[in-house]
Amino acid sequence: MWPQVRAALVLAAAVFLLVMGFPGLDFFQSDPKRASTPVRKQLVALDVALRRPLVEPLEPVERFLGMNQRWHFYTTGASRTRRLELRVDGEVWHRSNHPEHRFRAAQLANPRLRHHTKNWVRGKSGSVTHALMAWAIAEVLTEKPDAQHVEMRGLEGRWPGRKLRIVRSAEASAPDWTVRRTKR
Amino acid sequence: MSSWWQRWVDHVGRPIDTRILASVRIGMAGIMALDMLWTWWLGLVPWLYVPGPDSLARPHRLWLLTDLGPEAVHMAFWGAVVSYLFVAAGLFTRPAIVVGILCEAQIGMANTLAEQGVDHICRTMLLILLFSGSDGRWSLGPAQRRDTVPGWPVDLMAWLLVLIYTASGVCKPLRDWSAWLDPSALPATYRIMADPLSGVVDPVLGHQLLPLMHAMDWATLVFEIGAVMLLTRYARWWAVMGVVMHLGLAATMKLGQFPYVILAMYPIWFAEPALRWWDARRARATGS
Repeated sequence: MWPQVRAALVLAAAVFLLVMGFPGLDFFQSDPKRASTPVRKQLVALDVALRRPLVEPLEPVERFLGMNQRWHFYTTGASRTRRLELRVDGEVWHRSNHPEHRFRAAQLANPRLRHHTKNWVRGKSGSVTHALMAWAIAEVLTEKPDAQHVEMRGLEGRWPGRKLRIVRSAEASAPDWTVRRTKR
Repeated sequence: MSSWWQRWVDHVGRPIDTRILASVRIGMAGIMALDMLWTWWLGLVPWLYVPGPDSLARPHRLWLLTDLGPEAVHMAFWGAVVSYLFVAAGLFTRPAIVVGILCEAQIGMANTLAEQGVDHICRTMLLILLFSGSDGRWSLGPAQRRDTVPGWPVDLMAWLLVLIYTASGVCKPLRDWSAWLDPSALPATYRIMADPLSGVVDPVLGHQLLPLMHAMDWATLVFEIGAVMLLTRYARWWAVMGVVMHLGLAATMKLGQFPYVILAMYPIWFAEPALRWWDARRARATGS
Protein backbone atom coordinates (compact mmCIF):
# COMPACT_ATOMS: atom_id res chain seq x y z
CA MET A 1 0.00 0.00 0.00
CA TRP A 2 2.77 2.48 0.93
CA PRO A 3 4.40 2.46 -2.54
CA GLN A 4 1.03 3.45 -4.05
CA VAL A 5 0.51 6.26 -1.53
CA ARG A 6 4.08 7.48 -2.04
CA ALA A 7 3.66 7.53 -5.81
CA ALA A 8 0.43 9.51 -5.43
CA LEU A 9 2.12 12.03 -3.09
CA VAL A 10 5.06 12.51 -5.44
CA LEU A 11 2.67 13.05 -8.34
CA ALA A 12 0.71 15.57 -6.26
CA ALA A 13 3.93 17.42 -5.38
CA ALA A 14 4.97 17.55 -9.04
CA VAL A 15 1.54 18.89 -10.07
CA PHE A 16 1.70 21.43 -7.21
CA LEU A 17 5.07 22.71 -8.43
CA LEU A 18 3.74 22.95 -11.99
CA VAL A 19 0.59 24.84 -10.99
CA MET A 20 2.38 27.24 -8.64
CA GLY A 21 5.22 28.00 -11.03
CA PHE A 22 3.71 27.49 -14.48
CA PRO A 23 6.22 29.04 -16.89
CA GLY A 24 5.26 32.51 -18.08
CA LEU A 25 1.88 33.06 -16.45
CA ASP A 26 2.99 35.01 -13.39
CA PHE A 27 5.32 37.01 -15.61
CA PHE A 28 2.34 38.40 -17.58
CA GLN A 29 0.42 39.25 -14.44
CA SER A 30 3.26 40.97 -12.61
CA ASP A 31 2.92 43.93 -15.01
CA PRO A 32 -0.30 44.64 -16.97
CA LYS A 33 1.75 46.06 -19.87
CA ARG A 34 3.19 42.60 -20.49
CA ALA A 35 -0.22 41.21 -21.43
CA SER A 36 -0.36 43.47 -24.45
CA THR A 37 -1.33 41.17 -27.35
CA PRO A 38 -4.69 39.37 -27.76
CA VAL A 39 -3.04 35.95 -27.24
CA ARG A 40 -1.37 37.10 -24.04
CA LYS A 41 -4.62 38.66 -22.81
CA GLN A 42 -6.38 35.36 -23.50
CA LEU A 43 -3.70 33.50 -21.55
CA VAL A 44 -4.07 35.85 -18.60
CA ALA A 45 -7.87 35.46 -18.68
CA LEU A 46 -7.50 31.67 -18.64
CA ASP A 47 -4.98 31.92 -15.83
CA VAL A 48 -7.26 34.15 -13.77
CA ALA A 49 -10.18 31.77 -14.31
CA LEU A 50 -8.41 28.44 -13.80
CA ARG A 51 -5.05 28.69 -12.04
CA ARG A 52 -5.32 31.72 -9.78
CA PRO A 53 -8.18 30.27 -7.66
CA LEU A 54 -5.89 27.33 -6.87
CA VAL A 55 -2.76 29.42 -6.31
CA GLU A 56 -4.10 32.31 -4.23
CA PRO A 57 -5.06 30.37 -1.07
CA LEU A 58 -1.61 28.79 -1.01
CA GLU A 59 0.39 31.98 -1.52
CA PRO A 60 0.51 33.02 2.18
CA VAL A 61 1.91 29.58 3.10
CA GLU A 62 4.39 29.77 0.24
CA ARG A 63 5.44 33.23 1.38
CA PHE A 64 5.70 32.29 5.04
CA LEU A 65 8.03 29.41 4.19
CA GLY A 66 9.98 31.60 1.75
CA MET A 67 9.32 29.23 -1.15
CA ASN A 68 7.68 31.39 -3.81
CA GLN A 69 7.43 29.47 -7.07
CA ARG A 70 7.61 32.36 -9.54
CA TRP A 71 10.63 32.06 -11.75
CA HIS A 72 11.81 34.54 -14.34
CA PHE A 73 15.51 35.12 -13.88
CA TYR A 74 17.35 37.73 -15.94
CA THR A 75 14.67 38.40 -18.49
CA THR A 76 16.65 41.36 -19.77
CA GLY A 77 19.78 43.29 -18.93
CA ALA A 78 20.25 46.90 -17.91
CA SER A 79 18.97 49.38 -20.49
CA ARG A 80 21.85 51.77 -19.72
CA THR A 81 25.24 51.67 -18.02
CA ARG A 82 24.93 52.63 -14.38
CA ARG A 83 27.50 52.97 -11.65
CA LEU A 84 27.46 53.86 -7.99
CA GLU A 85 30.17 56.19 -6.80
CA LEU A 86 31.28 57.08 -3.28
CA ARG A 87 33.35 60.21 -2.75
CA VAL A 88 35.07 61.13 0.48
CA ASP A 89 36.29 64.72 0.85
CA GLY A 90 36.07 65.09 -2.93
CA GLU A 91 38.11 61.99 -3.70
CA VAL A 92 36.59 58.89 -5.40
CA TRP A 93 36.79 55.94 -3.03
CA HIS A 94 34.40 53.55 -4.75
CA ARG A 95 33.11 53.15 -8.28
CA SER A 96 31.10 50.09 -9.34
CA ASN A 97 33.27 47.48 -11.07
CA HIS A 98 36.31 49.75 -11.14
CA PRO A 99 39.79 48.19 -10.85
CA GLU A 100 41.15 50.93 -8.54
CA HIS A 101 38.32 52.59 -6.62
CA ARG A 102 37.31 49.54 -4.61
CA PHE A 103 36.38 50.82 -1.15
CA ARG A 104 33.94 48.26 0.36
CA ALA A 105 33.60 46.67 -3.08
CA ALA A 106 32.81 43.25 -1.58
CA GLN A 107 29.93 44.69 0.44
CA LEU A 108 28.52 46.76 -2.42
CA ALA A 109 28.77 43.81 -4.80
CA ASN A 110 27.02 41.48 -2.38
CA PRO A 111 23.69 40.53 -4.02
CA ARG A 112 21.82 41.12 -0.76
CA LEU A 113 22.86 44.78 -0.65
CA ARG A 114 23.22 45.29 -4.39
CA HIS A 115 19.47 45.35 -5.13
CA HIS A 116 19.14 48.37 -2.84
CA THR A 117 22.03 50.25 -4.46
CA LYS A 118 20.86 49.31 -7.95
CA ASN A 119 17.35 50.58 -7.29
CA TRP A 120 18.75 53.75 -5.77
CA VAL A 121 20.90 54.50 -8.82
CA ARG A 122 17.89 53.80 -11.06
CA GLY A 123 15.78 56.20 -9.00
CA LYS A 124 13.34 53.43 -8.08
CA SER A 125 13.95 53.56 -4.36
CA GLY A 126 14.69 57.02 -2.98
CA SER A 127 13.49 55.93 0.45
CA VAL A 128 16.70 53.99 1.06
CA THR A 129 18.91 57.05 0.55
CA HIS A 130 19.16 57.71 4.28
CA ALA A 131 19.99 54.09 5.16
CA LEU A 132 22.57 53.71 2.36
CA MET A 133 24.23 56.96 3.35
CA ALA A 134 24.23 55.96 7.03
CA TRP A 135 25.99 52.72 6.07
CA ALA A 136 28.49 54.53 3.82
CA ILE A 137 29.28 57.17 6.49
CA ALA A 138 29.81 54.50 9.16
CA GLU A 139 32.17 52.58 6.86
CA VAL A 140 34.08 55.71 5.85
CA LEU A 141 34.53 56.79 9.48
CA THR A 142 36.01 53.41 10.45
CA GLU A 143 38.61 53.93 7.73
CA LYS A 144 39.10 57.70 8.12
CA PRO A 145 37.73 59.03 11.44
CA ASP A 146 38.47 62.65 10.50
CA ALA A 147 36.56 62.56 7.19
CA GLN A 148 34.52 65.73 6.65
CA HIS A 149 32.31 65.02 3.64
CA VAL A 150 30.76 61.91 2.07
CA GLU A 151 28.89 61.95 -1.22
CA MET A 152 27.08 59.10 -2.95
CA ARG A 153 26.40 59.45 -6.66
CA GLY A 154 24.41 57.49 -9.20
CA LEU A 155 25.93 57.71 -12.66
CA GLU A 156 24.22 56.77 -15.90
CA GLY A 157 24.97 56.75 -19.61
CA ARG A 158 24.39 54.99 -22.90
CA TRP A 159 26.20 51.71 -23.52
CA PRO A 160 29.10 51.08 -23.42
CA GLY A 161 29.22 53.92 -20.91
CA ARG A 162 32.26 55.94 -21.95
CA LYS A 163 30.43 59.09 -20.82
CA LEU A 164 28.32 59.02 -17.68
CA ARG A 165 26.33 61.80 -16.07
CA ILE A 166 25.16 62.21 -12.50
CA VAL A 167 21.51 61.25 -12.19
CA ARG A 168 21.27 60.84 -8.42
CA SER A 169 23.27 62.15 -5.51
CA ALA A 170 23.17 62.56 -1.77
CA GLU A 171 25.74 64.00 0.59
CA ALA A 172 26.47 64.57 4.26
CA SER A 173 29.09 66.54 6.17
CA ALA A 174 30.67 66.45 9.61
CA PRO A 175 29.93 67.02 12.39
CA ASP A 176 26.19 66.27 12.27
CA TRP A 177 26.22 64.09 9.11
CA THR A 178 22.72 65.15 8.14
CA VAL A 179 21.90 63.54 4.78
CA ARG A 180 20.86 65.88 1.95
CA ARG A 181 19.58 64.58 -1.37
CA THR A 182 21.19 66.89 -3.91
CA LYS A 183 19.84 65.17 -7.02
CA ARG A 184 16.73 62.98 -7.03
CA MET B 1 -4.39 -1.19 -12.13
CA SER B 2 -3.26 0.44 -15.35
CA SER B 3 0.24 -0.25 -16.53
CA TRP B 4 1.27 3.43 -16.63
CA TRP B 5 0.40 3.84 -12.97
CA GLN B 6 2.36 0.73 -12.01
CA ARG B 7 5.31 2.02 -14.04
CA TRP B 8 5.08 5.33 -12.13
CA VAL B 9 4.91 3.51 -8.77
CA ASP B 10 7.96 1.43 -9.71
CA HIS B 11 9.81 4.48 -11.01
CA VAL B 12 9.43 6.67 -7.90
CA GLY B 13 10.30 3.73 -5.66
CA ARG B 14 13.37 2.57 -7.59
CA PRO B 15 16.41 2.33 -5.33
CA ILE B 16 19.16 4.90 -5.88
CA ASP B 17 22.51 5.31 -4.19
CA THR B 18 21.97 7.36 -1.01
CA ARG B 19 25.25 9.18 -1.64
CA ILE B 20 23.64 11.02 -4.60
CA LEU B 21 21.25 12.80 -2.25
CA ALA B 22 23.88 13.10 0.47
CA SER B 23 26.16 14.98 -1.91
CA VAL B 24 23.32 17.40 -2.78
CA ARG B 25 22.58 17.88 0.93
CA ILE B 26 26.19 18.57 1.84
CA GLY B 27 26.88 20.87 -1.12
CA MET B 28 23.70 22.87 -0.95
CA ALA B 29 23.43 23.35 2.83
CA GLY B 30 27.19 23.99 3.09
CA ILE B 31 27.08 26.74 0.47
CA MET B 32 23.96 28.30 2.03
CA ALA B 33 25.68 28.43 5.43
CA LEU B 34 28.86 29.89 3.89
CA ASP B 35 26.87 32.53 2.03
CA MET B 36 25.22 33.63 5.28
CA LEU B 37 28.58 33.64 7.08
CA TRP B 38 30.03 35.77 4.28
CA THR B 39 27.19 38.29 4.68
CA TRP B 40 27.95 38.42 8.40
CA TRP B 41 31.71 38.70 7.80
CA LEU B 42 31.08 41.72 5.58
CA GLY B 43 29.24 43.39 8.48
CA LEU B 44 25.97 43.62 6.55
CA VAL B 45 23.65 41.72 8.89
CA PRO B 46 22.54 44.66 11.11
CA TRP B 47 22.13 47.02 8.12
CA LEU B 48 20.13 44.52 6.11
CA TYR B 49 18.01 42.78 8.69
CA VAL B 50 17.66 44.66 11.99
CA PRO B 51 14.77 47.13 11.61
CA GLY B 52 15.66 50.70 12.63
CA PRO B 53 15.84 54.27 11.34
CA ASP B 54 19.25 53.76 9.68
CA SER B 55 18.54 50.25 8.43
CA LEU B 56 17.61 48.87 5.02
CA ALA B 57 15.23 46.39 6.67
CA ARG B 58 11.59 46.86 5.70
CA PRO B 59 9.76 44.06 7.51
CA HIS B 60 6.99 42.26 5.66
CA ARG B 61 3.66 41.71 7.43
CA LEU B 62 4.63 38.06 7.95
CA TRP B 63 7.70 39.15 9.92
CA LEU B 64 6.94 37.62 13.31
CA LEU B 65 9.94 38.73 15.34
CA THR B 66 9.03 42.41 15.86
CA ASP B 67 8.04 42.04 19.50
CA LEU B 68 11.19 40.12 20.37
CA GLY B 69 13.49 43.07 19.66
CA PRO B 70 16.64 43.35 17.56
CA GLU B 71 18.27 40.32 19.19
CA ALA B 72 15.61 38.11 17.60
CA VAL B 73 17.06 38.88 14.16
CA HIS B 74 20.50 37.71 15.24
CA MET B 75 19.00 34.62 16.86
CA ALA B 76 17.10 33.76 13.68
CA PHE B 77 20.20 34.43 11.56
CA TRP B 78 22.47 32.24 13.64
CA GLY B 79 19.71 29.68 14.01
CA ALA B 80 19.67 29.35 10.23
CA VAL B 81 23.48 29.23 9.93
CA VAL B 82 23.87 26.53 12.61
CA SER B 83 20.94 24.55 11.21
CA TYR B 84 22.41 24.54 7.71
CA LEU B 85 25.78 23.45 9.11
CA PHE B 86 23.95 20.62 10.89
CA VAL B 87 22.19 19.69 7.64
CA ALA B 88 25.50 19.63 5.78
CA ALA B 89 27.03 17.48 8.50
CA GLY B 90 24.00 15.20 8.60
CA LEU B 91 23.50 15.90 12.29
CA PHE B 92 19.83 15.72 13.31
CA THR B 93 19.19 16.47 9.66
CA ARG B 94 15.40 16.59 9.61
CA PRO B 95 14.85 18.91 12.60
CA ALA B 96 17.76 21.03 11.34
CA ILE B 97 16.10 21.42 7.92
CA VAL B 98 12.83 22.54 9.53
CA VAL B 99 14.54 25.04 11.85
CA GLY B 100 16.81 26.31 9.07
CA ILE B 101 13.96 26.94 6.65
CA LEU B 102 11.81 28.73 9.24
CA CYS B 103 14.66 30.90 10.56
CA GLU B 104 15.97 31.86 7.12
CA ALA B 105 12.47 32.57 5.81
CA GLN B 106 11.96 34.95 8.73
CA ILE B 107 15.28 36.67 8.00
CA GLY B 108 14.06 37.08 4.43
CA MET B 109 10.85 38.68 5.72
CA ALA B 110 12.90 41.42 7.37
CA ASN B 111 14.17 42.59 3.99
CA THR B 112 12.45 41.11 0.97
CA LEU B 113 14.75 43.00 -1.40
CA ALA B 114 17.75 41.22 0.10
CA GLU B 115 16.10 37.91 -0.74
CA GLN B 116 17.09 36.27 -3.99
CA GLY B 117 15.23 33.77 -6.14
CA VAL B 118 17.90 31.23 -5.31
CA ASP B 119 16.94 31.40 -1.61
CA HIS B 120 13.46 30.22 -2.56
CA ILE B 121 14.90 27.46 -4.75
CA CYS B 122 17.17 26.23 -1.94
CA ARG B 123 14.42 26.15 0.65
CA THR B 124 12.14 24.23 -1.74
CA MET B 125 14.95 21.74 -2.42
CA LEU B 126 15.56 21.36 1.32
CA LEU B 127 11.87 20.61 1.81
CA ILE B 128 12.23 17.79 -0.72
CA LEU B 129 15.36 16.54 1.07
CA LEU B 130 13.45 16.61 4.37
CA PHE B 131 11.48 13.54 3.29
CA SER B 132 14.28 11.86 1.36
CA GLY B 133 16.54 9.96 3.75
CA SER B 134 19.54 11.86 2.40
CA ASP B 135 21.25 11.45 5.79
CA GLY B 136 21.53 7.69 5.31
CA ARG B 137 25.14 8.20 4.19
CA TRP B 138 27.92 10.70 4.82
CA SER B 139 26.27 11.95 8.01
CA LEU B 140 27.23 12.22 11.66
CA GLY B 141 23.94 10.83 12.85
CA PRO B 142 21.85 9.73 14.53
CA ALA B 143 20.25 8.54 11.27
CA GLN B 144 20.79 4.88 10.41
CA ARG B 145 23.06 4.00 7.51
CA ARG B 146 21.13 3.23 4.32
CA ASP B 147 22.97 2.41 1.12
CA THR B 148 19.93 2.98 -1.08
CA VAL B 149 16.83 5.16 -0.86
CA PRO B 150 13.81 5.56 -3.17
CA GLY B 151 14.62 7.68 -6.23
CA TRP B 152 11.67 10.11 -6.16
CA PRO B 153 13.59 13.06 -4.61
CA VAL B 154 15.87 13.11 -7.64
CA ASP B 155 12.80 13.24 -9.90
CA LEU B 156 11.22 16.12 -7.98
CA MET B 157 14.46 18.09 -7.89
CA ALA B 158 14.98 17.61 -11.62
CA TRP B 159 11.36 18.62 -12.23
CA LEU B 160 11.73 21.80 -10.19
CA LEU B 161 14.92 22.77 -12.03
CA VAL B 162 13.20 22.10 -15.38
CA LEU B 163 10.32 24.39 -14.39
CA ILE B 164 12.74 27.11 -13.27
CA TYR B 165 14.86 26.94 -16.42
CA THR B 166 11.83 26.76 -18.71
CA ALA B 167 10.12 29.71 -17.03
CA SER B 168 13.31 31.76 -17.27
CA GLY B 169 13.80 30.77 -20.91
CA VAL B 170 10.19 31.50 -21.91
CA CYS B 171 10.10 34.88 -20.14
CA LYS B 172 13.30 36.19 -21.73
CA PRO B 173 11.99 36.66 -25.30
CA LEU B 174 8.53 37.56 -23.96
CA ARG B 175 10.04 40.48 -22.07
CA ASP B 176 12.39 41.73 -24.77
CA TRP B 177 12.67 39.44 -27.78
CA SER B 178 15.02 41.73 -29.71
CA ALA B 179 17.62 41.77 -26.92
CA TRP B 180 17.75 37.97 -26.99
CA LEU B 181 17.18 37.17 -30.66
CA ASP B 182 17.89 40.17 -32.90
CA PRO B 183 21.52 40.11 -34.12
CA SER B 184 21.41 43.87 -34.75
CA ALA B 185 20.40 44.72 -31.16
CA LEU B 186 22.64 45.02 -28.13
CA PRO B 187 22.74 41.45 -26.76
CA ALA B 188 21.09 40.83 -23.40
CA THR B 189 24.08 38.80 -22.20
CA TYR B 190 26.28 41.84 -22.74
CA ARG B 191 23.84 44.10 -20.88
CA ILE B 192 23.78 41.62 -18.00
CA MET B 193 27.47 40.74 -17.74
CA ALA B 194 28.78 44.24 -18.42
CA ASP B 195 26.35 46.00 -16.08
CA PRO B 196 28.83 47.55 -13.61
CA LEU B 197 26.33 47.14 -10.78
CA SER B 198 26.10 43.36 -11.13
CA GLY B 199 28.63 42.10 -13.67
CA VAL B 200 32.39 42.00 -13.83
CA VAL B 201 32.91 42.36 -17.59
CA ASP B 202 34.28 45.75 -18.60
CA PRO B 203 31.54 47.41 -20.72
CA VAL B 204 33.97 48.93 -23.20
CA LEU B 205 35.97 45.72 -23.62
CA GLY B 206 32.82 43.60 -23.74
CA HIS B 207 31.44 45.83 -26.48
CA GLN B 208 34.11 44.42 -28.80
CA LEU B 209 32.82 40.89 -28.22
CA LEU B 210 29.20 41.37 -29.25
CA PRO B 211 29.08 38.42 -31.72
CA LEU B 212 30.19 36.12 -28.90
CA MET B 213 27.55 37.66 -26.62
CA HIS B 214 24.84 37.01 -29.25
CA ALA B 215 25.95 33.38 -29.43
CA MET B 216 25.71 33.18 -25.64
CA ASP B 217 22.20 34.68 -25.76
CA TRP B 218 21.03 32.00 -28.17
CA ALA B 219 22.79 29.18 -26.31
CA THR B 220 21.13 30.32 -23.06
CA LEU B 221 17.71 30.29 -24.70
CA VAL B 222 18.30 26.85 -26.24
CA PHE B 223 19.39 25.42 -22.90
CA GLU B 224 16.59 26.98 -20.87
CA ILE B 225 13.66 26.51 -23.22
CA GLY B 226 14.87 22.99 -23.97
CA ALA B 227 15.33 22.19 -20.28
CA VAL B 228 12.74 19.42 -20.53
CA MET B 229 15.65 17.41 -21.99
CA LEU B 230 16.85 17.14 -18.38
CA LEU B 231 14.03 14.65 -17.84
CA THR B 232 15.09 12.39 -20.72
CA ARG B 233 17.90 9.91 -21.25
CA TYR B 234 19.94 12.79 -22.72
CA ALA B 235 19.80 14.59 -19.36
CA ARG B 236 23.53 14.34 -18.63
CA TRP B 237 24.47 15.88 -21.98
CA TRP B 238 22.00 18.70 -21.45
CA ALA B 239 23.25 19.15 -17.88
CA VAL B 240 26.78 19.72 -19.25
CA MET B 241 25.37 22.84 -20.94
CA GLY B 242 23.95 23.86 -17.57
CA VAL B 243 27.33 23.43 -15.89
CA VAL B 244 28.97 25.60 -18.55
CA MET B 245 26.25 28.26 -18.19
CA HIS B 246 26.53 28.40 -14.39
CA LEU B 247 30.34 28.46 -14.47
CA GLY B 248 30.07 31.32 -16.97
CA LEU B 249 27.72 33.16 -14.62
CA ALA B 250 30.08 32.59 -11.70
CA ALA B 251 32.98 34.01 -13.71
CA THR B 252 31.24 37.05 -15.15
CA MET B 253 28.74 38.18 -12.53
CA LYS B 254 28.51 39.03 -8.86
CA LEU B 255 25.72 36.65 -7.97
CA GLY B 256 26.76 35.41 -4.55
CA GLN B 257 25.79 31.80 -3.93
CA PHE B 258 23.53 31.42 -6.99
CA PRO B 259 25.71 29.56 -9.51
CA TYR B 260 27.43 27.44 -6.86
CA VAL B 261 24.32 26.33 -5.04
CA ILE B 262 22.59 25.40 -8.30
CA LEU B 263 25.65 23.42 -9.35
CA ALA B 264 25.47 21.69 -5.96
CA MET B 265 22.16 20.22 -7.18
CA TYR B 266 23.73 18.77 -10.33
CA PRO B 267 24.89 15.53 -8.65
CA ILE B 268 21.37 14.32 -9.40
CA TRP B 269 22.67 13.93 -12.98
CA PHE B 270 26.37 13.31 -12.51
CA ALA B 271 26.90 11.55 -9.18
CA GLU B 272 25.75 8.08 -10.21
CA PRO B 273 28.46 7.35 -12.84
CA ALA B 274 31.05 9.14 -10.70
CA LEU B 275 30.21 6.98 -7.68
CA ARG B 276 30.21 3.82 -9.80
CA TRP B 277 33.68 4.69 -11.08
CA TRP B 278 34.88 5.51 -7.57
CA ASP B 279 33.50 2.25 -6.10
CA ALA B 280 35.10 0.20 -8.88
CA ARG B 281 38.44 1.94 -8.30
CA ARG B 282 38.27 1.30 -4.56
CA ALA B 283 37.29 -2.32 -5.10
CA ARG B 284 40.28 -2.79 -7.40
CA ALA B 285 42.58 -1.12 -4.88
CA THR B 286 41.41 -3.27 -1.99
CA GLY B 287 41.28 -6.38 -4.17
CA SER B 288 37.68 -7.15 -3.18
